[in-house]
Amino acid sequence: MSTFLVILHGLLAVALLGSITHRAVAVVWPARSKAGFVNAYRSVSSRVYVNANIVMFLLVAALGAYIYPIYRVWVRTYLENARLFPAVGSFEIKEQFIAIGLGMLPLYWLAWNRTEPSANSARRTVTLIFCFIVCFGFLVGHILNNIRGFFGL
Amino acid sequence: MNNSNIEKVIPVFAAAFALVYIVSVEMNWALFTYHPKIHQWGWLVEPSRDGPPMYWYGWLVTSMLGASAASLISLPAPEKPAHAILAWMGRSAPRDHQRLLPLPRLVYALMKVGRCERLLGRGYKNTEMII
Repeated sequence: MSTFLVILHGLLAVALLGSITHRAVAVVWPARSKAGFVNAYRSVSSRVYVNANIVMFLLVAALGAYIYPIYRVWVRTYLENARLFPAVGSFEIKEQFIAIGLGMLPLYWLAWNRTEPSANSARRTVTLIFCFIVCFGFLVGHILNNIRGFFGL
Repeated sequence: MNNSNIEKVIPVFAAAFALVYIVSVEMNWALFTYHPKIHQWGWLVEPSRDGPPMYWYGWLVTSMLGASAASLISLPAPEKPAHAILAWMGRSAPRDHQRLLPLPRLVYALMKVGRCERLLGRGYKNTEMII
């Protein structure tokens, strides 16, 4: 069951990563025309993604919180015994970022529900912070999931 | 709660959540502890019963409550951020914002108490070493 949940957590995280990265690119580097793949990628309407991103972030965080005890009891002790302290520390940083992200979700929703052009900088900043949090969380989770292969343990 | 209140409360919530979370982690103010190996929960910070204790859930709830409290406190605060900042700093704020003045005083008092305690703690340790 826990393996299934870890895989589900990973799959949802992939979807969230794709969505938030797409959105961050559209915010930072917008395009008016949809000619060509790159322009079409940049010209996506970011507002459409807001609620989906919030729901996916909550789902991924909730699943992560549910399977966290397994990591804490079995995986972390293994990593500590293998003296892989940078990996343990990376996960600690990840959990702090996810917690801050959870607290920022209402602000993210608010920034994208305001129509004033003056809120553009807030939209861009909050989206980029979320993109960073999701990318960092995904990379750390992915590396930890495959850590035995990475370090030949 | 109307739209302007929501717009005022949400940024306060986000900022307060981050601040309270950092303080909770640093000071270990977990509202409850989970013992994953034996699947037991305990109130506030508990030492290990069997296996490692987990405080992350407790920190999250502490931050949620702290941020909610800060949001509620901010509801009667003035609309304009510049005025709010001035009022918070206790400087020349407009008369209707003077009610926020106790806040910086409280922060200052808490800092003073904290400093005294630290000094007392250091003194006690030194005395202990001499003895």
